[in-house]
Amino acid sequence: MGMTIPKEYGGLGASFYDCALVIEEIAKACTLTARIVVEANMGGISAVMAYGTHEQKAFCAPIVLAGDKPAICITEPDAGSAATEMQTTARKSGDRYILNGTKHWITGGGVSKLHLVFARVLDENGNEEGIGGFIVHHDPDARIEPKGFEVVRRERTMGLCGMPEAELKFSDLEVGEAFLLRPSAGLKRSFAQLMEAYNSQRVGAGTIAMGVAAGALDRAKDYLKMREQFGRPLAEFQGLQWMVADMDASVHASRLMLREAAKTAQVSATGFPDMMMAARAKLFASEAAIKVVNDALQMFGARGYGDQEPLERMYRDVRMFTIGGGTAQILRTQVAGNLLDIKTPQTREGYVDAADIGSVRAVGE
Amino acid sequence: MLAEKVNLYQELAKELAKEFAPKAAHWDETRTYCHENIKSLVKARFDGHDYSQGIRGPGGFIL
Repeated sequence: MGMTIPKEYGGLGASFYDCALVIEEIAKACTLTARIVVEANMGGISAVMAYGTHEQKAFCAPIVLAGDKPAICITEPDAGSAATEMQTTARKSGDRYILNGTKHWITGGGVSKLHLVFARVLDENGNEEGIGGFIVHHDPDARIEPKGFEVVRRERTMGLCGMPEAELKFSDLEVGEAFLLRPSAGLKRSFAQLMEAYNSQRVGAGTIAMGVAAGALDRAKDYLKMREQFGRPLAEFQGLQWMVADMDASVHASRLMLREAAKTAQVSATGFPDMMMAARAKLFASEAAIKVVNDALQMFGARGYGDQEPLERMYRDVRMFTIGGGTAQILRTQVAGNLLDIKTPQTREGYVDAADIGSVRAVGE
Repeated sequence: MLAEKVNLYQELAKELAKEFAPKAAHWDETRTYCHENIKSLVKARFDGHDYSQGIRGPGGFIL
C-alpha cells in the first residue's frame, strides 16, 4: 500500500515499474487484492502526489499508507467513455465548493476513504472554469461523514465480487477550496493533466489482467503434465502443446508491453507512463488475458468449469479489464488518434488535427 | 535464458501471494472486501527494508 508514495511522505518512493512487478505476482493469486494494490499506488493517489499541494499530499499519504484504496470518481450515468460530458458540478461559494451530482461504477465505493471526485468547476456566478478533481474524505468508522455524501447502492458484478462497485450521490456536499487539485496547467487544462495519472492506472489494470493470465497458464502447465487420458499425459497431445505455446507467447508479449510502458514514467516529463504505450499495452494485455484464461479453463475440461479450480473465478474476474479503466474500443481510438495524428474520437463537426486543435474542417474537405 | 536482476519488491510479493491465494475464493463467494489482506500489505511495507537497493546473494537477501 502506497509503495509509490515519495519517501518524504512516508512511502517507499518505488517506481511504477516496481509496482507492476508486485501487481503481477499478487494477481496470479488474488485479482481483488491486486486491484487494491493498483489503486493504492496508481491512479488517484498518484495524481495527488504529482499535482497536489504539500498539504494535500501530507493529508492523503497517511490514509493510503494505513491501508486505504482511494476511489477515483469519474464515471456518471450519462458520461461513461465520454467522460468530459460529466454533469457533476462544483460551484464556488466563499472558501469552499458545493458539489452536486451522481457518480456510478465507483470502484471501492463504500469502503474507500479517500475519493478523487471529478466535477465541472463553476465560479460564484456559475461560469464554467474547467473540470477539476476534489479530494473528499469519507470514513464512517472514524465518524467522518460529510453531509451530502451518500453511497446509494452497490452493483452486483460478474467478477471481482469482493470489490464494491457503487453509485455515489453528492447533494450540496461542501469541500474546502484547499482540497481542489490544481495542476500547473490551470483549470482549463486540468482534466487532461489529471488524466495523465490515469496512464499509470491503465498500466496497473493491464498488469492485473496479465498476472491473472500468467497464473492461469501456470496452472494449465501443471495440469497438462499431471492429468492422463488415453494412457498418456495431456502434455503429450500436440493440440494442447500448441495452445500452451500460444498462451505463453500472449502473456510474454503483454508483460513486455506493460513493462515498457511502465518504464517510460521514469523519463517522461509528466512522471507518468506514456499515453500511447499505456493504452496499447492495456488493450493488448486485457484482450489476451481473456483468451489465455479461457484456454486454460478449456484444458481443465469440466473441472475448470466448476468451482473446484479457480479458473472459473479468474475468467469472471479478467473479463472486466476490457471494460474498466478505458474500454478496448476507447483505447483503440486513442492509439489510432496517436498513429494518425488526429484528435479522436471524431465528432459530427468534422475532425481536428492533433497538432492544431483550433482548426476544424469537415470530413472529406 | 537471460538472467534478470532480482527485484525484492517482486520477491516479497511472491511471498504475500502464497498467503492470499487460498483466501481468494472466499472474497469472491461472500462478496466481501479483503481487509485481512490489506493488513498484510501494510505490514509488509513497514518491514523497513529498502527493497529497491537489494540484490540476492547465495545466502539470501543482501540489503
